[in-house]
Amino acid sequence: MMPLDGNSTQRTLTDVTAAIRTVLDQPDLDLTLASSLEDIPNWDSMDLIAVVVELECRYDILFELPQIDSFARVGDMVRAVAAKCHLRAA
Amino acid sequence: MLFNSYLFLGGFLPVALCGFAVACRLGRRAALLWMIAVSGVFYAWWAPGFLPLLLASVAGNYAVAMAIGSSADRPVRQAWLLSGAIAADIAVLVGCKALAPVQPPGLSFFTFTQIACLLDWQAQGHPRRGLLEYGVLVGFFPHVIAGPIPLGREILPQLHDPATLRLSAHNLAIGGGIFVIGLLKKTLLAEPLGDIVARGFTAPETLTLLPAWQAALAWSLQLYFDFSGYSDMAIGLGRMFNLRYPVNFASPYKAQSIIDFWQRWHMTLTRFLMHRLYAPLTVLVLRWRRSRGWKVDRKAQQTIGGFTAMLAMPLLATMLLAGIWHGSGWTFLLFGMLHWVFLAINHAWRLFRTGRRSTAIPAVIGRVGLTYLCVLLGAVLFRSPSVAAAASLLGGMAGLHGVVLDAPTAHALFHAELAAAWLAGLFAIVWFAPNTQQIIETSWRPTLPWALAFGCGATLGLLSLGGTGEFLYFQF
Amino acid sequence: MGRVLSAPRYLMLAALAAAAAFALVWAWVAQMPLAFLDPEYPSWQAKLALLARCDLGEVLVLGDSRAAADVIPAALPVTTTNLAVGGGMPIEAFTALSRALRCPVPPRRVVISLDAVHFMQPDLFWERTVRFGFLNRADLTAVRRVATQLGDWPEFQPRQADGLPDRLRGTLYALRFPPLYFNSLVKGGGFLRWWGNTAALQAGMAARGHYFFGTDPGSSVVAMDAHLRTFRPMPVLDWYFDRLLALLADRGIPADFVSMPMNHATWQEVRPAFRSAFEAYLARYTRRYPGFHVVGPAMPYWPDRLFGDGFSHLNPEGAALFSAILGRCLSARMGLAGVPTACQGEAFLLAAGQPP
Repeated sequence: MMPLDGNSTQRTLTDVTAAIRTVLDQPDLDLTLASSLEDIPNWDSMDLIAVVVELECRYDILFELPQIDSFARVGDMVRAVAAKCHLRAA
Repeated sequence: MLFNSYLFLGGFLPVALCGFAVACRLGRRAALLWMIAVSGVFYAWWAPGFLPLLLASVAGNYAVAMAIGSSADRPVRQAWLLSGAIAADIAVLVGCKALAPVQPPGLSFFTFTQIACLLDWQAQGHPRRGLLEYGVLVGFFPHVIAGPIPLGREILPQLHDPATLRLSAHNLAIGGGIFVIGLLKKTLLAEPLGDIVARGFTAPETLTLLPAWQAALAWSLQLYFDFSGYSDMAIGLGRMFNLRYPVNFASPYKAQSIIDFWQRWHMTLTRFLMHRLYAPLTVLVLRWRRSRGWKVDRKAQQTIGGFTAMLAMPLLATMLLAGIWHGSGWTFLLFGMLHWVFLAINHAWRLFRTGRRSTAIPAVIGRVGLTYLCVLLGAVLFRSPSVAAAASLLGGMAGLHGVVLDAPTAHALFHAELAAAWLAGLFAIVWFAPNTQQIIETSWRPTLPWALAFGCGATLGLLSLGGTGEFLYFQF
Repeated sequence: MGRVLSAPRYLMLAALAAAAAFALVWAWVAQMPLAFLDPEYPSWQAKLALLARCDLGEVLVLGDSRAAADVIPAALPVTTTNLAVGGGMPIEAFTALSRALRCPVPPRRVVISLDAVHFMQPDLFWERTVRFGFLNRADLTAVRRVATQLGDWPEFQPRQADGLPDRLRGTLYALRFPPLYFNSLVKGGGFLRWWGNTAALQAGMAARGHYFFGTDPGSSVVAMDAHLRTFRPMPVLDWYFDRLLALLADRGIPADFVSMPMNHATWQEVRPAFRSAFEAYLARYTRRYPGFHVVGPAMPYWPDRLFGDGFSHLNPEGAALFSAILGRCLSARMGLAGVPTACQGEAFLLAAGQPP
């Protein structure tokens, strides 16, 4: 995946955090790039798919399943979103 | 040939290992060819007529994988190749299940291994070259008949590693130990329960309360130790050849929910179904909902429509397939549906649960007990020759055939008490003993006490090949 | 928990431990069979001991488990040794007679009793006859040769398939290969059967080979005789029966075939054509060998209350009754009170519910 610049990283992190907060209905959830998805309270595989679909809708991108499977940290999602957007822009 | 047979332990395995040691000295290709050759002999021993099917399946899927790799710039062609190969694999699988009087051994296992491999390679865009390595991935004898179902990315890197193709005393020691544990589970813990299970399930209408429970509990234990033992033997054999197969069984009766159970029982099949069926279906459903502007968050999942579409339906498709994968009768279909109901209830509970799960001992015991009872119910269906027979046995367990608590003779009472104590001992192992992975990874060390223990265990395993059932004319 | 060893050393020690443990178990199995083998074993050993000592008396009883249970030598007027064994076929009867005839003093008379089923299929050939060492390797080789020539050897499979080649299995039994005895080691707790088995061995020798099977005060269970459709003797079993009678004729020893009774519940289910065919089979041999006679009816029944289990073995009351009748018959045929006379074969038939 491509390296991110600071501003776009922050924006994407904000979007990803918002998506997770929306899906889990936990508006106070605080996440960083290093946050592990499994450590989020009551997290399960359905939440992962729901968050990914929210992001796909938000950014008009599509992820492949193996890539969805590989998301372990919030940072993985952020980088993947950035890569998809970059590809689409290119 | 079975792993727990004189022919395998006294003939095939020593020859396979010695040949591997010699072939490794001759080079990588020789070692891989040897692994394929012995696997061919092993498979042909089971069903010589189906060896060409296995070979054709391996060759065909590999050719498609290479074609996918060379079509990296043509995604449409890739998609057609992939779809065609998967459709052909599934057609062979379904066709054989429906039409073949005798099933090709391991067909669904090596089919699923290859489908998973094709999907992974297509997603990565570049399949890993190496027909010999691919042949070992799919058809190596430890797992070809009944799993585990490995992923390409788990095994192929090992086969490309030079350290794998060199006999290792360390891996022989660990693999041998895992194998011995599995052998003892199968011959000493599972097989002796066979008679009582067979008698009970053949004539469930004759079973009053306690005998009905005895037959059902004995079956749940026979199934547990048989499958656990087999998985250990497969993993142990792979390890003797330096291959680390994925864990397939992780103390499933210690599960505290049905969701947890399926993540501990036949783990590689669960993984396949989750990743290749359940997850794609769920993604499809959520994308479809989102495209119509409907929500997909937890609140939406808590509505009847949302729960049905996003959770229940993909689960239903997955569990129906899981049921009929085991067999084509109504009992297997109902088995799948029953577990679908359990899973749906479990998911709903999780959705609506507030607060954290209690870790107090009574709560844990309650969850483990409830999960086990659900599994027991499904297991009775799974084993019964018909739905009516299953209903009869369950009726017996509910006391509908009567409750007879006295034993006709002191002899019968003694045997009944012995049988109950034996079952209690097996449950103690199931619920309190460490599993094989835990023993090997945390307790085992290459020390003298362990050498003595596993040496005596190997002897016990060899002795147990003679069986534990004794035919007595006398009424002792 | 001990010094960490190198992997090769660990493997070597594990292999040594395995070999040592196996050798110890093998030694135990070979030397101490009475300590763990199932409770019928000492009864077979008693018969073999009597044979080895040539302590056989004047009359031998050869046959299967019904003969073993129903004929009490102590109740007979002449010294008798009961060499009938559970699952016995003509093979075991011939083997026992061959050994007996190596003794200095041959028997005066032989009583043969084999159920029809034991002319038709092997019963517990591996699990009893071979496992208990009743046949030595030469005997087993001979059986395999004859059965192979006659095309019957594929029928001689153990109850539970073990995957062993037959030649190897025979050798392994002769060597007391431990896995073949593991089931008894487990069920017998390794050594817990020692006391019971040694007592049974002494009792068996004192009873001159007799032992009971079931001892219930009656049984109405239908035995397997009722499930047999057509009497068709297996060629190898017929061959051994013929050899048995030829050997007796050769030595001038008269032989009486006596059918052991079955319970009424079983008798009612036996096909009349089956019974007739069995009678005709025996009658052919009476014509071939003048010294061979069939005494009493083929496949008679007695009241259910005289049977001790579902295999139609007589219980103690039934066996005492039968032995008394057999004793009177032997007295008559051997002229113990004067000139030999015909036996009252009808005595073996009891009126329903009433002893004679």
